[in-house]
Amino acid sequence: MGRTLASVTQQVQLEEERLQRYRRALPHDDQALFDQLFAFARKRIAATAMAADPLPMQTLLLSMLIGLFHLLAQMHARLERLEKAAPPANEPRPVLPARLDP
Amino acid sequence: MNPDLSCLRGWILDLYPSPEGMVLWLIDETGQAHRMVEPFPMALYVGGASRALAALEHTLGARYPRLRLARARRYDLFLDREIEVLEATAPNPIAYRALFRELDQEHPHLAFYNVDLNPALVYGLERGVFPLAYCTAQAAEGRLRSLVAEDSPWSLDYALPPLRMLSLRLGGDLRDPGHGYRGVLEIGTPHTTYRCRWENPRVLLTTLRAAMYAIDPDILLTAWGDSFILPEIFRLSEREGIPLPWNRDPAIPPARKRGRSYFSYGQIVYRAPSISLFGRLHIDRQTAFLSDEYGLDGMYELARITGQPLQQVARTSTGTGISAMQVATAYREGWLIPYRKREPESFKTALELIRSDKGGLTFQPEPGLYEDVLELDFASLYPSLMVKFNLSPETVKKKCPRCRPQLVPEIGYPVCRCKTGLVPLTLEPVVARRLALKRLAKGLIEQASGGLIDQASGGISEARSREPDDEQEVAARPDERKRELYRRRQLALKWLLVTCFGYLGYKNARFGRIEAHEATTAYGREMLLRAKEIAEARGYTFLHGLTDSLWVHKRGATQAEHQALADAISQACGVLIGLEGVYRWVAFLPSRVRAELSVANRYFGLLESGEMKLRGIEVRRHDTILWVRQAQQAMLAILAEAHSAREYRLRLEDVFALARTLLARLRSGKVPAAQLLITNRLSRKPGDYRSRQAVALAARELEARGVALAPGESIEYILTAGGGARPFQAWSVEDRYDVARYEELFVRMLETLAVPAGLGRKEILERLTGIGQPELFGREAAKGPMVALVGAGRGVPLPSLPACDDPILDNPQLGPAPRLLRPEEPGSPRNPAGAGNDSCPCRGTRGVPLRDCSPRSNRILGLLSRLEPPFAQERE
Repeated sequence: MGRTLASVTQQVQLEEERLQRYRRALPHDDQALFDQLFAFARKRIAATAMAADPLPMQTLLLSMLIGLFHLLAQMHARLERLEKAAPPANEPRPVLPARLDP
Repeated sequence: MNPDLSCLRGWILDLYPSPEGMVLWLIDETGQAHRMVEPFPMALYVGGASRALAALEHTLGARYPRLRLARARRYDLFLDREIEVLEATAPNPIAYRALFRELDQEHPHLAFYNVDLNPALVYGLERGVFPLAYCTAQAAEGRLRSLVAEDSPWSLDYALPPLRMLSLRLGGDLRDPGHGYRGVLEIGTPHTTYRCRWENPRVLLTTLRAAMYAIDPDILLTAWGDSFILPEIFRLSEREGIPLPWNRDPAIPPARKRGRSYFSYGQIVYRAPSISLFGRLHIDRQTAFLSDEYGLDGMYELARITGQPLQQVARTSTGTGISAMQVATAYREGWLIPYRKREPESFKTALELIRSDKGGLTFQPEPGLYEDVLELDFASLYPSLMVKFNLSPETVKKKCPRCRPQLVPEIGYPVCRCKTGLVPLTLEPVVARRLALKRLAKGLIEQASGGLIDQASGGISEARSREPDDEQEVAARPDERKRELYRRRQLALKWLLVTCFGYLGYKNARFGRIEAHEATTAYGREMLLRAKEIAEARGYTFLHGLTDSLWVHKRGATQAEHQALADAISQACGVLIGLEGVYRWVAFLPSRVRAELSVANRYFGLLESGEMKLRGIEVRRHDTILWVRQAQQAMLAILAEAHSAREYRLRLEDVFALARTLLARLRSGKVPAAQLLITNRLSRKPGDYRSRQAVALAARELEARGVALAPGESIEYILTAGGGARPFQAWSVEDRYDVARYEELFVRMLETLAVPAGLGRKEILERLTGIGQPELFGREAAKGPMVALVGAGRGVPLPSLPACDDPILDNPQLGPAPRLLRPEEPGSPRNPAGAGNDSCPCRGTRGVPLRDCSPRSNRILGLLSRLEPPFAQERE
């Protein structure tokens, strides 16, 4: 509406549409993961707008990575809680950067 | 009218051009109207090559001996220097308009300045007066000799003339009478209301004539006056030979403008026809811009501030108002006012374009229900940024040899700082005034003592000097009526400021320039990010940000901490940010297409003050049917009793109980048709629709009944059983509405309230089909807290028409426009007993305290405790 360029939301949409053939060839389970990755990207759309990258896919991939890392951090925290409740018998702990420790 | 008038004090009611000059109508303190005329020459300027100007001067001099012609040098804002122009002064405003029309046709290659100015505005600027200003006038035999304003448009408290009003409206439905059903004509005087039948035109005309002579109204307040009532009465008056005193000025007939459809921002818009009067004012509240938002009080404020006559304010958008103010600033400064926009977009690299072509920053909150959330809002963010950073079409991206320009963050445009730009010059007093009015409306400061703020700059310093130490100034709080007045005035200014930003980027705005627009949004993004960073540094969790507002959370934070955060942000940004409030709970809603994502501007929540804030949900949307809106309002009233996310879930069970009762009523076919109307705008002519969509079916039926419809016009229809649709005007008692389609609309509304608590569509449908004790809830729900939210404050879902302006048109119980019943419907004059309309719970019984309406069975409580919300985010 009165804009010269596609908005960042439209750009994400375009990138997703561009990859629809790729998605189609993925196994069904992977398709759901593909959609989840784009959901990670959409949740960080304000950051993508600020980046103003001429190739938005770069920023989208970064957002997807952060989304994945976020999920990893949540799982790590949960694992810690579970381990505290029932400590494992001398199993090595997964090593994560200190920042991720809640 | 007094021909031997010598000295008079009063208010300017109307100002318009005539061949004699400007006609001014003054209302004195007794309410008497006086007409005065003053000769008023108006000048326009022509720019171009010196030889072309010389030739034009010669031609015009020979053709029009009364035209005053001279060469002059005037400042061109965009060239930033004086240029040589030909000044042509016409003897009166009518000749001024005619002269420009001729020049534009004969010399399209020349540059024109000051050619399409509003004579009333220019007259006001020349004489230092404005519409509704209190003045002292000296006149003899109707000729104005002197005019001195004893009033300032910037005065926070001002007296208004003792205006006499006459209202004209149609009885029955207040629906577009051009599309069919028309009730009796109700003529409302201050003492009584006369109801006249159209079938008896002589009685109607003589009654109206008598009322007009008896009251001699200053304002004729109508609903559908422009498009139906006045044209219809004109026709009857001519046919029956009974003239009516429409204008006080007998020399001129009322001015009529035809309706038209036009294309704007990807939409077809229909502008209704208009009828303006002379010497008295016709205001059609049906067509007036945002009249249900700020009412007549807001219109008076806009007329005074923008310098446009009241009848124009009532018929144009606030964008026209801000344009008029910019023209006034340029006129006052003696700058040339270009006829059309001449500043094309400057060249940019692709990368520059990608960086700069962005709007406000919009975050994506995690959908769900949150507790203890603080909302902070920047006060008039964009206008404040334009003022603070001197963002104006002529200052942004300008190579200024005199100063070291400041660079806009993110996009790097240079902004000249050595001269205040036209837009900041115009906006600064408005921003300060709105802030002062907002504080007055909240009772934070006492009324401006002495009242007058003489100069715009004085107004700012006064308003600013009052900002700190609010509490000390609370001593004399204005009463409720006064606060409401201030609230409406500040709302009107809010819309001026909102459109002002849009006009910076508008392709046809005289003083618009896309780079100034881009610079404003870039600063806006910067400020929101700064606010986020400051909040996070102070231990707050950032939940959501939307252009000029942010939502944050910090466990156990005190009010003092919140205030300290707001102060820190205000200081770092140089723009005031206010505490909107702390939410007991707030729901950020998921997208209907992708449930894991939210929609940034769809949320609702309960503030600690007890007010509800609702954005983007059904009750706030104009395209929601009245029945669904009322149902949601009743449900929100139930949820307003919940003080935590846990209580929200508990209360939701009462909501479902009410929903079951309402659905049962829908299925029984007893919901009045007037509550099921869908309003839709025609995107084309009825005959041009190819599909069988509902709006097309209804439009075709209306057309078949002889109603002329233009693209952009709105029509109202009901979805009928069997997949069809009928216009409301054609609806008959035998018709049946489509239960399934209305059920779907209802369930979608219910989803808005239930999904944040973790219920999916499946669970919602399960609850609707019978878990619980319907008869218990049915009885309780029938008490219906329909009116509970009305008056609850800013978050009130159904806006009502202003109560003080017009007792006849007001009906605070129903939506934005008073909606009355059709003749055959219960409660209407033909069916006064109200048969068939007695038990709708959402109509409500007044005065039932909400707390009493929700006893819950242990079984329901047990069910609730087992709820496992999939994405509830509230903090324990």
